[in-house]
Amino acid sequence: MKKDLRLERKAGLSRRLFWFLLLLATLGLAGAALVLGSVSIPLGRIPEILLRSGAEQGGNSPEAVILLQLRLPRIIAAFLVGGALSVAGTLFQGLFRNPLVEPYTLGVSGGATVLIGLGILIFGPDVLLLAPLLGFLGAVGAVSLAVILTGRSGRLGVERLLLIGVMISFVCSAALVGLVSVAGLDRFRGLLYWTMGSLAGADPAAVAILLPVVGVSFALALGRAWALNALALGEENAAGLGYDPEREKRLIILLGSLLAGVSVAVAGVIGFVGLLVPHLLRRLVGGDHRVLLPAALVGGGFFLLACDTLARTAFSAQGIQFPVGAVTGLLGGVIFIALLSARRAR
Amino acid sequence: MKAGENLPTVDLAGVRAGYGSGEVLHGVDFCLAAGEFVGIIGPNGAGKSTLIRVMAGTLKPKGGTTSYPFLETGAGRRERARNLAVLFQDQVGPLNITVREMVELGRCPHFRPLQWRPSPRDRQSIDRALDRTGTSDLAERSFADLSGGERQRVLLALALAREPRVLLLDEPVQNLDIRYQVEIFEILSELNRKQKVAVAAVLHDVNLAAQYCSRLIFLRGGRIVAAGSPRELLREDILEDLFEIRVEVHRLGQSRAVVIPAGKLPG
Amino acid sequence: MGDLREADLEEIVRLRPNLILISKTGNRKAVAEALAKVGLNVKTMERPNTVAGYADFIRELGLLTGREARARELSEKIRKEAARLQARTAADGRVRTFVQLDAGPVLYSAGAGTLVGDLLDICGGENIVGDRGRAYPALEVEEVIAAAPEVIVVCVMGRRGEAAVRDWARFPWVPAVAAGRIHLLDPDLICRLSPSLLQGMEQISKWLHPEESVP
Repeated sequence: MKKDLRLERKAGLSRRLFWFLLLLATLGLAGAALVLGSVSIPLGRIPEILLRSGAEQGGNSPEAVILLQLRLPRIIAAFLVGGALSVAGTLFQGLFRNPLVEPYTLGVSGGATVLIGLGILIFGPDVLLLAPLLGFLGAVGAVSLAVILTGRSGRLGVERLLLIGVMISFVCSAALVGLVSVAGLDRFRGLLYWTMGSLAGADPAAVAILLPVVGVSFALALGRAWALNALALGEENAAGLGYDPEREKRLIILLGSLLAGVSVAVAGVIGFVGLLVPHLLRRLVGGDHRVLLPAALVGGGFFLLACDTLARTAFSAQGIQFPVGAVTGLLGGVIFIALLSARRAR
Repeated sequence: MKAGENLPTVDLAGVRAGYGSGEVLHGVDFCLAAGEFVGIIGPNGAGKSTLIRVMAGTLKPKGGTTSYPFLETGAGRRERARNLAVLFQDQVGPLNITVREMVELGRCPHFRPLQWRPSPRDRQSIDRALDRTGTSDLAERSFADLSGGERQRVLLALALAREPRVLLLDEPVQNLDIRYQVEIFEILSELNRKQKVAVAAVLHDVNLAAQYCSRLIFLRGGRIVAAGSPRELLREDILEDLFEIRVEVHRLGQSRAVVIPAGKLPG
Repeated sequence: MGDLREADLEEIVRLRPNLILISKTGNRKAVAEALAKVGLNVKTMERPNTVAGYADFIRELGLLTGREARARELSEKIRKEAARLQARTAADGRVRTFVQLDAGPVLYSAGAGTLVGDLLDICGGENIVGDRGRAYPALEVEEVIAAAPEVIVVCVMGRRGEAAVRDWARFPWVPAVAAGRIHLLDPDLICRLSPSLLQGMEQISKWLHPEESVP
């Protein structure tokens, strides 16, 4: 693990270049996403439409509504969810010092799915109307359970926490299979779609929730950047540097779970983003969290936006709306493997 | 509280400490004075690392007290971190950050609450630390790319960056070439003499320890079985008791002695 | 009849039904053979995906269950009604319609090769989904909007269906929304293989051509 996959440090100028390119690419992508879709709205008209929509009386023009109510929220939501998942992944990977950890490892996705599943079992498919809330509660609940089970001796051992989190995920999967066998797959079809993750339901309300939660969580996480760097040296060394490892750990887990939980609430379970993006960025920009966290936010947002735009436009003529979780997995997996091979070849 | 030559820095009294339900240290009294260079020596499992941990404050003792007379009363974690640096080598993996960034980490305790980057003052300390450990030319390289010896030195720079008055080290020269071992000892020795930094280090090599340390502590089975200057402690009976092997101690001139293992103890 | 779920073979055998119908889709063959071996009366049939095929299905069923007369009557009724509606369509033209099968964020509709699609066709609707080559295509909301349907039939049960109906109010210029022609249809009426298909047909035709009052 030590030698082959390392990247030499880039000089300061290169870092600026990186940011410039990334932001430029993101803006470009956002523009493309605004334009693409079954209703074609040429780029040139967009500013005009946006400006006029404020003054329009009664029913806004169809294009304005499509842009403002459908596409723009979806774009913003995709960016925020992708960013949130990546930042959460970065936080957890930094905390557990394990590059294979992703935001769902502690049982976030399992908890969310099982709670909704239970709701459907008891109250019927109408419960799916409450899916965002239940999903969030289930997600945060699962992590809380993991933390409580681990921290009984007062000390939150990260290895133990990881193990317990993984166990909880397994238990949730098994429970879900059990639920489905009991009540039949039909009832859970809606849940199945939900677990595949989708940004189609992102409306202005979703954005209104995402923006503050992700914004605040990210800001707080950024404040812990030095602590995360210190923790990378080992808990005792971090303590020697004046940090309280227990407090930092709990805070980081809280922030990571919030980010993952709100993502799951809005978009269902979208996998791979929280694993791939932090991992990739670590190679590109190094392990300093002051840079890594913002890079994860933008990089993750970019990645998910790209995947979502692809998912909804690629096959729409054939009547297929690809689940975005599949695109992230496929695209992400391919990129990851390609990069690994390229490194080795060097 | 100005620096007297024998001002106690870290003071352990009747400390019992351990992990989980076990107890590793059974009543240890130890005081590290300013300007001392103490070597902690003992067989495996004697509790040397535990002792360092208690001294650093990262492990709370189950009995007895740890105090830091050289700090102001009521000093918190950060205050302590500013003045006392501890380094556990084995916990640090191959991190992909630059050497400079690592050493910057050493300035953390001195950062003001929302401080984002090192201040000019911080940079001074960092540069000095790099200089002292001879790692200035490695500054822009990735830590993960360095050799074992280079990494040790960088980690030492990390500890030095905060300009501590006390330095605690857990086996700082383990697994290093003799050349690097000597290099690091030289750095520590200079620190100790010139800056009056109190150093306490867990060491395996009795000879090197004897050469550089002003005081030695022999630890066995969770208790201090002997303490004193190298001259006093480098005696065959004491050493044989400590390590349970036969040794020969050869004096070289006035102030130096060499310990040579000489086979198993009879019986 | 009804849902085609996972069959609990032992349970089926225990119940000793007089007749077992198994659809030809999927790998039910093994199940069919297993049950036949036990001595039960097993019949495999195609799931009908046109109204005409459905009428045939009813007749066959009647033959199998010994309720020929009733079955024939129902079958005829369905055929006649279908013919009448088709004739009317020829005269009155088609109404652009969107059938929504799912309340979830992604909209699923029924295409031409499905029972629902055929139903719509007979009742005089022009399915905005068109010919996408898939039985149940998935659409983005904006695709539906772009197609400007005059009627939207939401085929979802319960509160989720109601919520879906309300959701459409976000797009007031869509003809169906402006005219208030968004209707909630009980999926059981058209998605299951039961005589209620007739009811479903009536409902849909009423919505599409309300000027025709069916006494």
